[in-house]
Amino acid sequence: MINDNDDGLQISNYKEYSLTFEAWQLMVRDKTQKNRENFNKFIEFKKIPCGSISKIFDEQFYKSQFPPNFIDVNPFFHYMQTGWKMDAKPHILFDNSYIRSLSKKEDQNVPPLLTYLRDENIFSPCVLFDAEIFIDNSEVNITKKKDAFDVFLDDWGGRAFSKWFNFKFYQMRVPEVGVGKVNPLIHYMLTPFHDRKDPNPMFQRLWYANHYMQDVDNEDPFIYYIREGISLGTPPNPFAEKDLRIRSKKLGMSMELLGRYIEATI
Amino acid sequence: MFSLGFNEERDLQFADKTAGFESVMHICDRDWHGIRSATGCLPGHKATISHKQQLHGEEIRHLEGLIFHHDIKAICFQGYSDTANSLCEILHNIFGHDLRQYAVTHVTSVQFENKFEMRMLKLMQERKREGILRNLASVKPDFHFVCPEFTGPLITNIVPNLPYRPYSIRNQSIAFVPIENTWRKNLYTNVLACEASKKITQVLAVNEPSNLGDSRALRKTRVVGYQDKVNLFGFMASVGLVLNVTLAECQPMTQLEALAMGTPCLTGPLGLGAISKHPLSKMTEVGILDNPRFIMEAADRIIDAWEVDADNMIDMIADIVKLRRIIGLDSYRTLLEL
Repeated sequence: MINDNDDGLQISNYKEYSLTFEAWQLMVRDKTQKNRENFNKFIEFKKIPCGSISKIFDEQFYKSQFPPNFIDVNPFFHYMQTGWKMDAKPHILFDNSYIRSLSKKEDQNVPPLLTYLRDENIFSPCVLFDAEIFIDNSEVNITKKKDAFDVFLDDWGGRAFSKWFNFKFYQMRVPEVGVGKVNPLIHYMLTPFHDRKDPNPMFQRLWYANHYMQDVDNEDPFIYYIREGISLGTPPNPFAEKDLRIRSKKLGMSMELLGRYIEATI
Repeated sequence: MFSLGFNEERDLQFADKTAGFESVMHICDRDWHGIRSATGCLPGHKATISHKQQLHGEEIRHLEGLIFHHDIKAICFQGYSDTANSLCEILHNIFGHDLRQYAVTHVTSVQFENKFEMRMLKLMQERKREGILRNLASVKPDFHFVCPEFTGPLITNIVPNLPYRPYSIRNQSIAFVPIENTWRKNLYTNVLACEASKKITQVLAVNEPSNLGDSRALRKTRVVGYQDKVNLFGFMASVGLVLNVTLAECQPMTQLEALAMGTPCLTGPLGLGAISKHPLSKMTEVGILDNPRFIMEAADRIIDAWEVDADNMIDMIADIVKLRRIIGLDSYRTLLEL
């Protein structure tokens, strides 16, 4: 519930407070008001069920993106008003550019988190998580695709969650991940780019970055490959053309062929 | 430049298609053509490396990916080299005992004057003692007399699985001699045997028995030169007999290719148990190797057999091909613990 004390507003359970577009607009418009008043107005709005935010907003992670003591207001409020414009992420697994690529034109100036929660057709906050695959492999009955990611964060359970990220292959190279240990996707995203291990047997990140990402900064090679590289027909490793018996380099490789080549076999 | 190859067309086109070997990967040298050809006849995946250079990091990484992607459980090194040895250790470090590794050697003790072979033998022994290689086997019978660590079954090579046989009309009195001109391969004695035979009308030789024509007329011998695989098969399918009576041999690929073309092939004694006891083998395994007369007599028996009952010859060849396949696949199932 809400605790209003000298430390400011504390909301311990965001799940009760569903976001509405109108509430967000109100917060943004009313910049000169104290944050406390804004929040009270915000929570007065009717709840519209559009997804929980308790798991997708990680306060600790959010604050870690800023200098210590930089945020002197409620982190979630900070994100909704300012943070999203600074491209801060609400969760380690939340990919702002991916969500923006899926969002409608009119939502380009809306916090990506809000887009994710509102849009019933967006089931994953990042390209490396596939709700359908996770649901198919889940023993728990997940009725709404939108809930799959929350269940994944709660209890990954050693289940396949992506046709790209092969967790068994990743686990072979990173023994710290596994059932009862660290979630492999979170481990991957928490690891600095240059220290990450390949999460797919057919993708060689170092080789790919050296050959196809000279003009691309600050992007994970594997995520880049899935979002851009496949459609450009670039090979995921130096042997793909030979493996696939591609004779003409001019044509590149088709998306379908590449997709099948690196899809996880789980 | 990279030397790693995987499931290249030439390594799969004649492979047996028997199920149960999907989790097997054979690794052989891309330049050791006899071993590579023999490996190409086997079911399972095929990777090729080079004894001339160690694998690069990207190659090892790719092989790791391939092993994982294809759910490989057993690696079989066909022939051994320093590159194979390094790879064997690296794969053990990566996969541990989840990936079983074995090695098959394709040499005879006759070849031990070559220090490389002795050194490779030592490396295989060491890897077996360390438990990195689970077992060692050979295509040469009784190899445990040579090296006690070779406790695997006798590995029997199988005949190439051709989807078709080249169309040809067989001239049963022509002999084909696809032998190199080296001491061990015994080219001269084979050619002399054909020249002496009254039943052989022509001899087609891939290599010239140099200077032999200086001391005697070679009336029947025609040198046809190096032949690629397709032409080689074509020649084999169109003659009555192939000759490969060499001084030292394991399981000659030449014989297997000839059998795939429905043509018998003379060899020295091979000592292959049930296969050497087969009626066809009793006709084709020559006991005395350095006397053309004995090779000639064996050649004449084959040509007579064609003339008397060609159907029986065809049946005998089909039967031994089938026998080799059964014994050969079983030998691999045993070695690889499938």
